Amino acid sequence: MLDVNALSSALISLASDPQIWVMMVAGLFIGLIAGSIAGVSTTMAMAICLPLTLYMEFMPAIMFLTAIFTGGGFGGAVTSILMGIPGTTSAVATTFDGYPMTRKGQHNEALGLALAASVIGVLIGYAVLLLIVAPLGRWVIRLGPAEMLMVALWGMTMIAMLGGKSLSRGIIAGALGLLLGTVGMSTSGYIRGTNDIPFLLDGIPAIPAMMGLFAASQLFTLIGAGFLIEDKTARRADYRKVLSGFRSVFRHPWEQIRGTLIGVFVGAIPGVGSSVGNLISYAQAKRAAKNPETFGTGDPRGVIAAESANSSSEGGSMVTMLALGLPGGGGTAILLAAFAIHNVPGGPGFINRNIDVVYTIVVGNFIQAILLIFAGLAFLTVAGNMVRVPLTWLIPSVLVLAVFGAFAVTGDASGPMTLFVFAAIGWLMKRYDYPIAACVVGLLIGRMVESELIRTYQISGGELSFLLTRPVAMAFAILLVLSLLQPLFVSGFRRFLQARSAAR
Amino acid sequence: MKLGHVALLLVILTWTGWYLSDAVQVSTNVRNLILIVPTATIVLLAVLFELLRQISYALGWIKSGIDRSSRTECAERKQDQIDILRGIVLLGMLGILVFSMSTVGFDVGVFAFLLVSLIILDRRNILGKLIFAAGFTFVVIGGARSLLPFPMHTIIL
Repeated sequence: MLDVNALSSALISLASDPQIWVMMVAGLFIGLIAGSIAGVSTTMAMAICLPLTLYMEFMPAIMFLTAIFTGGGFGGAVTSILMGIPGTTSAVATTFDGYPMTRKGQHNEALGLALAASVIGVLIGYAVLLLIVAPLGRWVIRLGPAEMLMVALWGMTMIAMLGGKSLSRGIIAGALGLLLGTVGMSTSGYIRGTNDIPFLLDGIPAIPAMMGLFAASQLFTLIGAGFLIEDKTARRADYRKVLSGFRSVFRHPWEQIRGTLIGVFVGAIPGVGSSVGNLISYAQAKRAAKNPETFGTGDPRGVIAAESANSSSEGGSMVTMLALGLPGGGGTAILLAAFAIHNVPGGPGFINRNIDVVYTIVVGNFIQAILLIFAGLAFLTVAGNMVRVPLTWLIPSVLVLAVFGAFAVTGDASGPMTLFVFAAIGWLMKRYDYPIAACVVGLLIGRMVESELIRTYQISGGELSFLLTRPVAMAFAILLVLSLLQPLFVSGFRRFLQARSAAR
Repeated sequence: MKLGHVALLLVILTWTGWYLSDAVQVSTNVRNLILIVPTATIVLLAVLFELLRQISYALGWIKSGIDRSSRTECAERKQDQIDILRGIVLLGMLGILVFSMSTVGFDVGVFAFLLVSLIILDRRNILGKLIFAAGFTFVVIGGARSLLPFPMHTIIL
C-alpha cells in the first residue's frame, strides 16, 4: 500500500523547504483564531487566505491552507467548551459535554482533552488516508443518493433522540430544522417560504441561524449568573490541568478510535462531512457507554468522541478530494481551488499523476498535528482566560461579536437579522428543553436531504422496493428506525426491571 | 402549563402550516413536495401532541412526572423573574441593533447597544462601562474593517 519512493521524496521535499514550516505555523494560528470565533469559520479563513497563496510556491501554499484547516478543527472546540457556542458546524457535539465541564470548573481539562483528541484524530485520519486512499475513494463513489440520504437522516435522527429527553420534542426540533433548511429556491427551481424577502431565495443563512440558536440559548440563560464558573479558584488557566486532560484521552482509547474511524468514514462522504460525523460519533459513544446518563453532564468521553471525529474527518474529506476531485466540504473545495490556481488539476487521475504531492500533503499534515500541540497550548493560555471575565461584561460583548460574525457571513444586514430571529427561537427552545442541535443539523442538511430524496425518487421511479436493492442504504435505514425506537426500548426495559424488582 | 412553551408551540404550528400551504400553492409537483409534505405533517402532529400534553398536564389529566423533561435543565428554574425580564430587554436591544445598524451606523449602534446592555445587566461602575463600550466598539469596527471585504456604514469611526 505504501509507496516508499514517494514517501522519501515527500520527506526530502518537506525537510528542504523552510518556507513550508513557516507557512504551517502561520496557518495553524490563523485556523485556531478563525475556528474559535463564532461565525468566522475555518472555510471563511481559508477563503480569505486563498489569494495570498498566489504569491507562494505550490507546496507551501497547500501546507498553509491545510494548516488553517487543521488549526480550525481544534479552534472550533475552544468556544464550544468555554461558552457552549460552536465556532464551527463540526464542533456542535463538543458543546454537549465540553460546556458542562466548563460550568463544573473543568475547562482546563476539557480543552486539554479536545486538543489531544484533535491531534490524535488528525494523525490517525491521515494515516488512514495514507493506507486506504485509493480503495476508499473507489468505494465512496459507489454511494448513491439513497445512501447519502440515509446517512444524513440517520445522523440527524440520532441527535434528535439524544439531545433532548422527550421523543416528541426531538422530532419537532429535527423536522422543523429540515423544513427551515428547505426555505428558498429548491434545486428543482421552486421558491417556497420566502415571503418575497430576496435574501431568502438562497435559503435561510445557516451560520447566522446556527449562531443565533446556540449563542442565545447559552448567553440568555446565563443572565443572572456572575461568572461562567462560580468557583473562583477553578477559573485559572492551569497548564497542569490542561496536560492532565491531554493525558486522560489515553484512558478512553475506544472512544478515540471509534470517533476517529467514524470521522474518516463520514468525512469521506461528499456533502455530509464533519458536520454530521461528530454527531454520529457522539451518539455512538453514548450508546456504547455503560453509564450513558452521564453524557451531557460533562463526561470527558463525549468531548473525545466529538473532537476525534471532527478532526479525523479532515483526512476523510481529503480522500474524496484527492482520489476523485470531489470536495467533501467547503475546506476541501478551497484546496481544490488552490490546486487550480497553481495549475495542478484535481480529479480522478490526480493520485496517479501526483503521488509524491499526495504523500507530501499527508506527511505535512502529520507534522501539523504535532505542531498543533504546541500552537494549541500557546493559544489556550489566552483563550482559557475567557472564563475569568464577568458575565455582565461578556454577554453583551459576545453578542456584538456574534452580530459581526453573522454580518461577515452574508455581507449585509440579513445575517444579523437572521441571528436575531433565531436567537429568540433558540432561547425559547432551550428553556423548554428542545434539542437545539437537531434543529441546527436539520437546517444545515435540509437542502441536501431534499436533493438526494428527489434523485432517489427519480432513480427508483417511486418504488420503495428499490431500497431493497441497496444494502448499504437498507443498513442505514434500519439504524435510523432503531435510533427512533431506542427511547421506547430503553424506557420499556427500565419499566420491566422496576416491575421485576417491585415484585421481589 | 407554561405560557412561553405554548407560545413557542403555536409559533411553530403557525409557521409550519403557512409554509406547507405556501409550498402547495407554488406547485403540487412531487419534486416540490416530496420532503415538505411528510416533514410538515410530522411537525404538525408532534406539535399537536405536545400541546395536548401541556393542556392535559395543566388540567391534571396526567401526572406531573410526564413533564419531567422540562424540569431537568430548564433555565426557568435557575433564573428568577428579573433575570428573565433582563433577557427579554436584552433581546429587544439586540433586535433594535440589527434592524437599525445600517441606518444609524455600525459604530453608533454597537456603542449604544453595549453601553445600555452593560448597564441593564449591572448598574455599578458606569464610567468603566462607558470606556469599555467605546474601546470595544473601536476595536471591533477596526478589526471588521480590516478583515471583511464588505462596506460598513459608520457615522464617527
